[in-house]
Amino acid sequence: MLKNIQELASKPLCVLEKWFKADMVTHIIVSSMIRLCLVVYGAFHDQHYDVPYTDVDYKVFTDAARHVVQGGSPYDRHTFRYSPLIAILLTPNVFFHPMFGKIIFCEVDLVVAYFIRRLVYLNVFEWMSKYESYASEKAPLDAIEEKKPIKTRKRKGMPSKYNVKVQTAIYWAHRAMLFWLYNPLTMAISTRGNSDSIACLLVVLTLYGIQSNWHPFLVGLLHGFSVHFRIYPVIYSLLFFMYYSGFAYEFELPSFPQYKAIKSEKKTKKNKLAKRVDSGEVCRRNPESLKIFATSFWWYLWPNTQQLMLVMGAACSLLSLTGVFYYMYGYKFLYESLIYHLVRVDFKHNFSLYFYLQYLTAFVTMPMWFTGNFWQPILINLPPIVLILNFSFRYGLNKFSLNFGVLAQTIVFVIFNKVITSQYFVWIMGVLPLCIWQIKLSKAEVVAMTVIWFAAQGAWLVPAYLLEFRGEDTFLYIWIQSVSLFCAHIGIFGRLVKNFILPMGVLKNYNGRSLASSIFQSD
Amino acid sequence: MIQIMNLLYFQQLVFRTIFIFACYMDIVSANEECIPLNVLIIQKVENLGFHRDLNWFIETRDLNPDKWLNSSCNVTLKIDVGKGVFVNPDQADDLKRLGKLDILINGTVDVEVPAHEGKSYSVYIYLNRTEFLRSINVKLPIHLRYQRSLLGGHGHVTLSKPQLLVHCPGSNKIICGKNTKIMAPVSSEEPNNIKVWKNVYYQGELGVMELEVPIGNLNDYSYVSVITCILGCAGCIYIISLMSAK
Repeated sequence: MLKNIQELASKPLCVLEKWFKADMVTHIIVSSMIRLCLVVYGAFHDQHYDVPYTDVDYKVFTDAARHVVQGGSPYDRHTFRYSPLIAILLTPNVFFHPMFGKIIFCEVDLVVAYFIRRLVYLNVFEWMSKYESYASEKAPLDAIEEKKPIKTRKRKGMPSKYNVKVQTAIYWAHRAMLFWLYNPLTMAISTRGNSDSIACLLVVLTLYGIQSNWHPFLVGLLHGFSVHFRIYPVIYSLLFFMYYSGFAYEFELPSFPQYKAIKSEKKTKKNKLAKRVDSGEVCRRNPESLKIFATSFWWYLWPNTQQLMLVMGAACSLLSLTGVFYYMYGYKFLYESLIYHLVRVDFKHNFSLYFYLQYLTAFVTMPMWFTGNFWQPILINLPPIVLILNFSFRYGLNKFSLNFGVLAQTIVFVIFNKVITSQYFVWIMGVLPLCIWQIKLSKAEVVAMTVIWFAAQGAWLVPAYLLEFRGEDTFLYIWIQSVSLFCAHIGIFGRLVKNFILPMGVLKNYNGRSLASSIFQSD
Repeated sequence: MIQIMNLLYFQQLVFRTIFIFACYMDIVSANEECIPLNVLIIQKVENLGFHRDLNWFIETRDLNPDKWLNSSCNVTLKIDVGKGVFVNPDQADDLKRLGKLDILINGTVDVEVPAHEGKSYSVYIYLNRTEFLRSINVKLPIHLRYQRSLLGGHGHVTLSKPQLLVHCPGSNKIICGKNTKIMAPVSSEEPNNIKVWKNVYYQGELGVMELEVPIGNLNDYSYVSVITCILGCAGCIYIISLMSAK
């Protein structure tokens, strides 16, 4: 009886597991059908309800496209602050069908999923190959050899090492793709007519180009294009630049010639890190190279040919697109699509830590010395700049942490932003699947972080609702909840940084388990 | 000379008589055929917070259906929107598309600016002629603008009294009473076709004419600024410390 109950309980899980193991084409078809249903439902909803399903931006895009069709400027549409390309792309909305744009965004979603899969496969396979080759040559304590699971399997007629690598890479690539395809946030964003899936595609495609060894000039062109389309990818520029540096490396191991183990001379025995260093468990680069003001640091910025090609490519596409559209639409294009985003002060309540401070000081002059109108912008803008620069060097110089670098920079850009709306989280969702194989979190940790995030959002929504829909003066309470939401974001981001396994230099043991085995755990 | 004087006097007398007769005939005919409009408008403000609905119940009394329908007159409700409030053009378009409101916003609306930077404009809601015979419910969503922060509590936004305008294709004299004339677009489809409309008196129960908007408290500035800035920097230091600890 008990056995039957257990079987019944485990049956849905088995079905779910089987479903997830279905091939890529099946998932692409199913997820496109779900998106199509949501688009159709959106049309129905908009016809019958006062609060529309379609994003207000979609109406803005369509109106801008109408202006383009009529031979005018898309910037004649109030609040159109995007690249003219989006208006041009959506002109069929005017003369073909109003849902055309939504279908395009959904198709882009599927292309993003495809490239996420390709990129994760590439990353995992390459990482395992290089790690394995290094381990067989240099590292005597590699986890694979330590556990010897593959040898045993070979004897039993199981797949070869190569097949294991392929299977593992496919496993993670498939997971990453599903993470994107069935994410309710991404589905909602595309089917509501928001163009952020195109921005995600451009970022993922740039990452794919870099890691597939496309010519740096081509990568630069793509990066410049993505910056033109949506400004925020500009934060990745230095990260990409560092990736092509001659100082970039793949593994932080003591036997790699350019890295040394930290000697424990300066450390006391109480220092746990020093103990781990002594035992050979932890290895890091020469600390000299990590000091920002060390002379050698500045050599990182001296460009090599590849870096020059990258910069030239980016400048080429960005400047040419800006020049062409400036010629076509004048200063209004420049202001609405670029300058506005730099000088914008949004005083309306939003998730940002800085909203109340911005609202209080939006239309008044504060002569207080400790913040005031001079110090306040510096103190607000400095932390994300410091972090983004730090990530550019730290993760850009490691060949296997580029994706995580992009993720980290995106998260910092969003949580430190002066305006945060729900759609900003899609930028994170676009790159998070690329890193799931590198972030080692237990199920309990994932659940806890999800609960904390939703709880913090829910707690913010209560005073925000009272303010917006009940007219109560709850500005201070919203600010308090923004503070707690910011702390939750920092806490969660901290866990991700802490549990990102590749660049931490702990190659042998990770919480008592082998790093390699944790990657190999898929089979 | 005297003869000439007599002739001029006679001419003046004739013209005056004709003019008085014409005026008399006009008044008589107008009084005989004009349509008296006896309208009651009850205004209510629904919801609280930044998003409100202006609800008007419009009822006509003793309106002759045949005369009214034959007259082809149109009725519109004109609302002057002040600086502290705005009607969202996108939302207005949706309501128009759904056939819920025949609305025209006469002016440029910036939905992003705060109250002190807002501009006034007019909104016309064209009423259904057939429904006007009995009673009509009109609901217009409005949004309050953020106001610059002061000492907390609530700021005030005053609503203007709506105007009921009537336009008849032949002559507005068909509507009884002498009222002020207002230039307004003839329909929501033709915003540039401006005609003379008659501003009709109505019996109004307008209720609340002042709305409250929550505003920020500048007394919070000192600790909000310090804590916010410190927290931002602390978050940055924490993340860097985590990376350095590895």
